[in-house]
Amino acid sequence: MFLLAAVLDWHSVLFLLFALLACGFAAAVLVTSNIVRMAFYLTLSLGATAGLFFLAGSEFVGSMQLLIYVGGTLVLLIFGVMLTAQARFVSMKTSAGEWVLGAIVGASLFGVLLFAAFNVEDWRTPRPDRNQIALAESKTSTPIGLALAGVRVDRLEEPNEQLRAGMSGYLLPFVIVSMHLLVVLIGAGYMARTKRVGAARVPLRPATVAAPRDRRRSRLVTAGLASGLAINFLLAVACFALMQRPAASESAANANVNSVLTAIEQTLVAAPDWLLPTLGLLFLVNVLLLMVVWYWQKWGVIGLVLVPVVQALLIGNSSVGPALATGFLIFALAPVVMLIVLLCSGRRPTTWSQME
Amino acid sequence: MLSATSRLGLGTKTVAQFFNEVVLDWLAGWFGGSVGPNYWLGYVLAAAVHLGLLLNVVAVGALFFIWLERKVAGRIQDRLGPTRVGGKFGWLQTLADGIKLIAKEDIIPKDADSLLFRLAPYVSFAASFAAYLALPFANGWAAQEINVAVFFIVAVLGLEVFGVILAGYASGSKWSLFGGMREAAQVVSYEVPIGLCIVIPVMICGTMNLVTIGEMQAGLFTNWLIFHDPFTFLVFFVYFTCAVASVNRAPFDLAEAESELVAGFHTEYSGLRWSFFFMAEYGSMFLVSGLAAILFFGGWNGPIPIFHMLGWAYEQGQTDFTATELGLGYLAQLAGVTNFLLKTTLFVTLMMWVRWTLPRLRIDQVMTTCLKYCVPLAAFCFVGAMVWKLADWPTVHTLAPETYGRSFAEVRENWVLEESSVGNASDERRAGGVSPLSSSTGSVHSDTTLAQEAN
Repeated sequence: MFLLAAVLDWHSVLFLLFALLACGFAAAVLVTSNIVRMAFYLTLSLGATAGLFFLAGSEFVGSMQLLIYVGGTLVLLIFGVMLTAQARFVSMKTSAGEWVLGAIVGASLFGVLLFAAFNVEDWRTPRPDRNQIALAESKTSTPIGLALAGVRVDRLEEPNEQLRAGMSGYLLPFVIVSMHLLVVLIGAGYMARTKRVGAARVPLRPATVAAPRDRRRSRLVTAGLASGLAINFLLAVACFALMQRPAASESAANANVNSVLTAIEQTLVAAPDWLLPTLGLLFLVNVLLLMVVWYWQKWGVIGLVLVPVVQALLIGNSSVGPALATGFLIFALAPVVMLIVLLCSGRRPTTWSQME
Repeated sequence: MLSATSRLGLGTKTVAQFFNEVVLDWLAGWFGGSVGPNYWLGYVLAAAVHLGLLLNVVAVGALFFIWLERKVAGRIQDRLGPTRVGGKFGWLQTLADGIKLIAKEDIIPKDADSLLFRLAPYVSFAASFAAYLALPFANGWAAQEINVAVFFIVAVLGLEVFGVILAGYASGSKWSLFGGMREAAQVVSYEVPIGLCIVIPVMICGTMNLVTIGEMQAGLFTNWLIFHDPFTFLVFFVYFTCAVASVNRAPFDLAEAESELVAGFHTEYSGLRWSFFFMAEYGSMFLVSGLAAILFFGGWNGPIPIFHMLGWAYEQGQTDFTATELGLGYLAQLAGVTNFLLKTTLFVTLMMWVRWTLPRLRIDQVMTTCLKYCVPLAAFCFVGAMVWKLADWPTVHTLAPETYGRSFAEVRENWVLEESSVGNASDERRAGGVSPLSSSTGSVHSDTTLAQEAN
């Protein structure tokens, strides 16, 4: 046994040990149905990953892993405990569909990683000087700290003057990230605070009128909204599709299949580049607004009126011409007007009066 | 084969190499073999010795501190405390307790999640113990001298709460659950100010290596970081408050508030598992106290640098425990360990004093202390200390007489230079830095930090 111990490459053994621990507990997370146990296994798995980092001599990253990931799982654990206070959550079953979906996502990610890993030349060929590798003294934290302060000590000898300027450390990202965190902290504190103040001082608003359950829209309105959704969506798609115009225009012009298409082509040639994507986006906005109307919000209708106006203005401002813009406005506003009429007509209470 | 004595002066040698060359080689000599300096068994033995020593620090330390706690509590309450077991002072009381605990029945409640219930005490203990791996007890005497030791310790100490929450959840008792949740809220909150407090010495020293931080404070006690400027003086008290809270001691022991929660997270525990929680608690008490000693009170450096004056003390990075001439450096190291243990014990005693003097806070008061006082105070001190450092205002130490230590700036500049340098110059200096081991240790010499590289 001593002989065996002497020949063993202890670094590899430890690596395998930690890797197996990480993978094994990760699998345990999948198999377990109890949230708290899941969080616990996750902790162990992430801790083993930290062990891998330590083994590689990167103590800073390892400690970071412990502090952020393992420590962060702590919060997960707390939520797990709070959730499972109710008995029905104690054991969570995963449905077959979720298993399939998870398996597909996981397998594809695994495939990509595997593919990437095996494509790295250095990782496939064993190093000839394996025995010469000494574990470098890991002094990772100082370069990282200096880089965050604005000095990339590992790039001091970059010969290219211009490149060196770009490697001046991560001070700006660092400041941005810290400001971001600060804003998040203040926001969290503010939200926690306003709630309490609201409960204590501000009299409660009169209980908001609960949405009436029995409100209904007529078939015509439903059909109008649905067709509006479909048409706007198709128009948006068409706009984006027409962006490939230069390639298409030649073939269309050559074939001369459809005079209408050609006419459209001719008008569009004059349009500036930004027009089509903007129009497409506005049509998508229309789709959203229609959905808003679907969910009983009045402001969606206002938006529906505004968007065509904006579109018409855009068209008018581009070189296509005001006549076309006016035509478009009439053509686009007509369905909206029809929709409003539909909303306001019909048996009382009208759909309009039921909206919020 | 050289004799053991002639090898003692041979420059740096790790403990593992010592085992190999001196002990194992001698043993192998009996069977007619010989052992190289990098034989694996030496490393295993060295690791075992380190781990054994550390385990004993935690376990025997817990025994001692529990006895001390009883005595302190007794004196504060005008009693005698334990007096009988083991003759005078009742010094064997904890051992008797331990035997009682081992003999107790080990109960697992019916509603408990038995796997987590069993594991929780070990999680707590393992987290508390793992942090010791990076804690130096004297110059270079750490189980594993980590470049980011402070960070590592803070990261690992934060994991102790896992055990408590798991225990609270797995016990299947509402009192335990309440205790665990309170502990979670408390520890998560107090990690913020304690992090801010720890960052201040790190900022002043420019390194997260605990050995370097301790070595920078060598010299007269005025060189200790607590006397660096008024802000560090202030922040030590913030640190101590937060440390008491983060190891879950009274007056912050809401997780086990006996008056409200029976016994909090360990209500359902008995026997040896229960005692594991207490080993973890006393272990982390000792750990945060040790951290306080290193970060603010000069670590293993005594108030008066006797060994530096005599020139016996080790250079930084001179981990060779077979010592300089005649093993005098070894003596200095032992004195350093004694210093360190004394300081740490002092802080632990202080924690006990606080515990038996102050009443327990309510949970909202705990949160208020953290968020309204500790965090702003620590942040204020951080800014203050930073300005002090930037403006290079004088410290008490600049007024003090000759110190026989190394000045901060020198150590710091060297540290940054040596860490960051990528050119050839540094390589040469590194190569040159290997030798100066038994040279003038006390002098203020800029090359001394290079010995850091030598190990």
